[in-house]
This record gives sequence, structure tokens and C-alpha cells, in this order.
Amino acid sequence: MRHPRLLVCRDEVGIGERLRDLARQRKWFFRSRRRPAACLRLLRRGCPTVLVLGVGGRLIGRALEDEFRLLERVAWLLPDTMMIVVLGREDPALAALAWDLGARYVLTTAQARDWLPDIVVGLMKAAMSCSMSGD
Amino acid sequence: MSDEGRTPELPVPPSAGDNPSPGSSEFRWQSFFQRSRDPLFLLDRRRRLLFVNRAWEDLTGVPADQARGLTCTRRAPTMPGPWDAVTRALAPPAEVFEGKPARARRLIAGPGSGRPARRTTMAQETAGMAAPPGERPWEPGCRSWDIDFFPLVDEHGLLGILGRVSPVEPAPVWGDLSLTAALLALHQQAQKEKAKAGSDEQLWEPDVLVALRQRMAQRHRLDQLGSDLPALRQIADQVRLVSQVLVPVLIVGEPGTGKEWLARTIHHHGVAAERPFAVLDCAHLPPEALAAVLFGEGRAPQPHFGTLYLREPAFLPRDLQARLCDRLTTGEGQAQAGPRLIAGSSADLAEHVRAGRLVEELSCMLSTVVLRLPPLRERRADLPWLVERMLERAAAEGRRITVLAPEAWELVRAYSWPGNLRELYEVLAGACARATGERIEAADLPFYLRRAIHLEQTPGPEPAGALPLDRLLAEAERRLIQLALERTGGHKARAADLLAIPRPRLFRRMKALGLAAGDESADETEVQIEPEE
Repeated sequence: MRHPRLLVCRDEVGIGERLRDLARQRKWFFRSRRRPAACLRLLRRGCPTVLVLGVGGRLIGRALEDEFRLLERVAWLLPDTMMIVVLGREDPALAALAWDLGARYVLTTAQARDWLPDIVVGLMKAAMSCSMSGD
Repeated sequence: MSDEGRTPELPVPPSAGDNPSPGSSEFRWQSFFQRSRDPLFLLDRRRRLLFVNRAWEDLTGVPADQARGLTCTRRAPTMPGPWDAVTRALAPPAEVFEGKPARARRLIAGPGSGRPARRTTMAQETAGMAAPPGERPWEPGCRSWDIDFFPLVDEHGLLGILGRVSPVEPAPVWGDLSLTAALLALHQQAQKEKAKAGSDEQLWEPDVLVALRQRMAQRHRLDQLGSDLPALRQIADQVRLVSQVLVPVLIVGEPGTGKEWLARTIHHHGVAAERPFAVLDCAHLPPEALAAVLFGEGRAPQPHFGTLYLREPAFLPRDLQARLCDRLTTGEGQAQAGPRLIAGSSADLAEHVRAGRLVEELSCMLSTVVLRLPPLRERRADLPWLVERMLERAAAEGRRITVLAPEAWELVRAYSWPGNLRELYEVLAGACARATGERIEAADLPFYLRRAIHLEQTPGPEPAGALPLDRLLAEAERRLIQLALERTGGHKARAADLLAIPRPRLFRRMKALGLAAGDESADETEVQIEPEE
């Protein structure tokens, strides 16, 4: 089994620093990328990975298509990758789409303050057991 | 009830164009009813419509002259008519004939027509977003009416029945919309925000987001289960049946057999396909995060899920299991609008019950329909078709390779595939990335697979004379350690985990067996932070 990795994509919701500390404590690799395409390239170097996608709160001036396309592609091509989506706005439609396209958990920035580290740790365990077995 | 000899009857109102004369009692009560904003109707004791007011005509779309004389009964008519849905909805309950008022909620097809309920298409949904406020053409055609029935009684008994219809307005929450409609509504909101801000920035395309969902649905078709194996044909038949009702389904199969794929397939075939599908990893998510999705707790409102796939529900905390039981018992979770629950487990739930992990009641509730997916070693006949499909999937991002060299095929056929479909996909995707030619060669397959075949096929040397047990055990130990190191890419700490021994013991054994143990601390991997590309 290869070394666990925590990857943050598009940190528009201010979660990167906390996750960087978490990765340091747990001795995981940590990567942060702004562009979804760069994330996908990294993910192809397979190892147990939790991908955290931060989707900012603004509805205009952003490419939601790229962010959700990343979810769809990763869910299909790299099914062992555990995806978490942190939404900058409370929007059930975006949350629903993220769940539907394969996110393993979707939460808002307010929820992320309390729950995100535990969810990341839990899903990293799932990613590590997946690379041994699967669903 | 016999009506013979019963008098008097309610006066039959005049037919169309034959209005009652002003000043008559008939004229007075008809004028009174016509002025009412409530949809009202009058039945005789044989359940025939005698009178309807204008509000009733507006609501049902049935003209008064065509309504008169129609019989309102729950029984299927011998001759189907255009207003059958309406007349069935207006049928009085039995207690009204005993002189008691009653109220009934009736489901009826879409407004104004009595046409049968049907699912809306995406085009209709799109059109629906521009519809006037109050109209919801994107909703499924069914809606509800609450109907009050008042018996009209004199000293001889029942004369007739007065009815009042109150349309039940669906709650204006997102859950009543499909996901497609919700995304279109969000896009409209974004357009408004853009106009308000006077921004010239480009706006995201809702069609692209909708297309991502459609692509997901395309990948989860029942024909992709594809096999002539009786076990899989039976699963396909069962899926066709269960997809149309919101009963809980349990999918049992070894890890990697495709339980989540099958759960999504049921969802996309089913009545809840327009709503989102969600996977909930019961074994690894913290309890409060699980409760937020299962019971809508927490600060943020949860989406209105169509299907919740519970991965390994036996590992849900006990209190959540009990609450889920309560919810399923009251029918809340499986109501028409509630999410369908599909559970996936790598072991029979009965085993988890015996081990004390799972509440028996929940096990029974989740096992309404059980689908068992066979492991890959039991469906070797499917290998050519499965390999073809997985090569297509792996080629989506890289070079398209569709063929395996004969030697590679030999290895794929001979291997036991303990990781099932998941392992097959990983092996083929990796081989596609490694292949330099137009086809996958045996050398492109992972070393552990080639070695496993080699170990299975190569007979060991015949021991001469007495069995040197210590030497054989040492050799077996050496091979196991080597195999673990290969599986973990040389990572000793992980190899120790795999062998279920402490790391210092692994190092001692490696030294004793002459395997280079190296520096124990060299395994610690630092956190690496790369700069943005």
C-alpha cells in the first residue's frame, strides 16, 4: 500500500491551513492545487487519497462546470478516491449535485469548522482499506 | 343500499340553457353556490352529480353541462370516460350514507384535465421554470384534494350530498423539485445576481451540470450488468421489479463486486431517479455527520435525496441504528417522498447480528429484497466482456487500448482475482498507462499478478529424504515477507501491517533471513508541501 495523501483543490473557503496541520500530524502527504485539471493529474499517481474540493460562495464569475466535472471524472475513473465537498454557500441544489456526482460527504463552511478533520480522518481510513479491498 | 320507495329526491337542476326562473327557490340556492369561491358540487343519493359551481369548473376543467349526471364512484367504470379521475376523486366515503359528514384526501391527476399522472420530461421542466408563479408544470402530474362531504338529510333519510373541494398546495420547498429543476432555478438566481451587480462575467452553464448527471445515468444501465449467468440474469429481473417501488434493498457481495454500481443502477432505473443519489460510509464517517444526513440534523439543510446507499450499515453506531429502525417503522423514511434506502454489505447481515454489531430489527427491515453479487472467480465466462468494458473506461483519460496479448490473457484468466471487479479495473488501468504498444503485454501487468500465477503453476522441488521442517518454514517466511514488500512497494511499516506483526519483529526476521532490512527510521515519510504549479 502506498502512502496516504490529502489533496485540497480550489481552497476558496479557507480550509487549507487546517488540513495542512492535520496532514502534518498524521504524517500524510499534503498537496494543494487551484486548478481541477492539475488535481486530476496528481490523482492519477495512485495512492490512498482524500480530495477536498472547496467551492466558494459566489454564483457568478466562476466555472462551476470545472469543479463538478472534476467530481464526475474522479468518481468514475478513480473510484477509490474519497471526495469531500465544502460549499461556501448553503445551497441544497449544489449540495445535491455534489452528492449525486460521487462526493462521499458534502458540508458547508460552518459545518466544516466542527466536522471536517474527523470526516477527513474517517474517509482516509476508508481510502486505505479500499486500496486493499473495494466495494 | 336500496333506493326504491325512498322519497323525496333532490330536484334535478335544469339542463344547460334551461336556467331556473328568477325568484324560485332553485334560483336562490344556485346563485348562492355560484357566488362561492370554494369549488362546490352536489350529488344525489345515487352518487350522480346534480350541480357544480364555477369555481369547481375552474378547478377541474370539466364543464358544468358535461359534469351533470356523471356518477362519482371509486369503482372502475365499465366505459372509460375523459373525467374518470375526477369522478373517482369525488366519490363519497361510506359514512356519509349513514348521515355523518366526512373528509377525505384524494390523489388526482394534474390540474384541470383528469388526465393520467405521468412523469415530466426535462424539456417540460425547463419550460416550467418560465411558467407563471403558482403553476408547477415540472412536478409529476399528481396532486391532492381534500374533500368535505356534507350529507343532506330530512325525516325520510338521505336526500343528497354537498361537497367542497380544497386543493392541497404542495409545500414550496426544494424537495418538491427534481435536481434538474433546482439547478435551473439556481441558474436563474445567478442571472438575477449578475444583472443586479451589472457584471459582465461569464456565467456557468446549467446544461453542462445536467449533462454530468446524464452521463452518470448512462454508465449505470442494466444492460451493463451483462451476463448470461443465471445469478446475474436473476439480479437484472429483480432490479427491474424493485426499481419501481421504494422498498429497502440489501446488496451482498465480496469487496469489489460492484455493490455501489448496482445501487446506482437501481436508483437511475427507479422512481426517484430525478433526485440525488448519495453514498453514506457508515463505517468511517463520524456519528454526527451520519445523523445529519440520515435525520436532517445539523446547521445546514440536507438535500431531498432520492436514494441513500448505506455502505456497511452494520457499523452504524447503535443509537443511530435504533433511530433508523424507528424511522423505518413509522414509514417516514420510505414514504412516497422519502429517500429509498439501499444497503451494501460484504457479509450477510445475519452474521453482523450474531456478532452483536447490528440490531436485528434493522437487519430485517433493510433485507426486504436481497440481491447477491457473485465474485469474479465465479463469472470467469464474463471476463472478455468485462475486460473490454474496463479498457474503454480506462481509456477515457488516456490512450485507447482495446486488446490484450495472448500471454496477458492467459495471466488474466488464470488469476483468482480476490479483489474482484475493483482489482480488475485497477490492474487494467495501470497496464494501459504502462503499455508502450497498441496492446497490453504480459509485462505490462503488475508483478504480483505474474508472480502469483507463477507460484500457483510452478511445482516446488521434491524433498529428498526427511523433510527439513525448519528450512521449509524459513523459506515460507522469506517468501511471505518478500510478497508483502512487493505488495506495499517496499514500504516496511505497511508490510508489517499486512503481515499483522510489529515492525521491529519484521526487521529482526528480515535480518535473520538475510533480507536487507535497512534503516528502520527510513520509512517515516515527511509531509511534503509542493508549490502551486
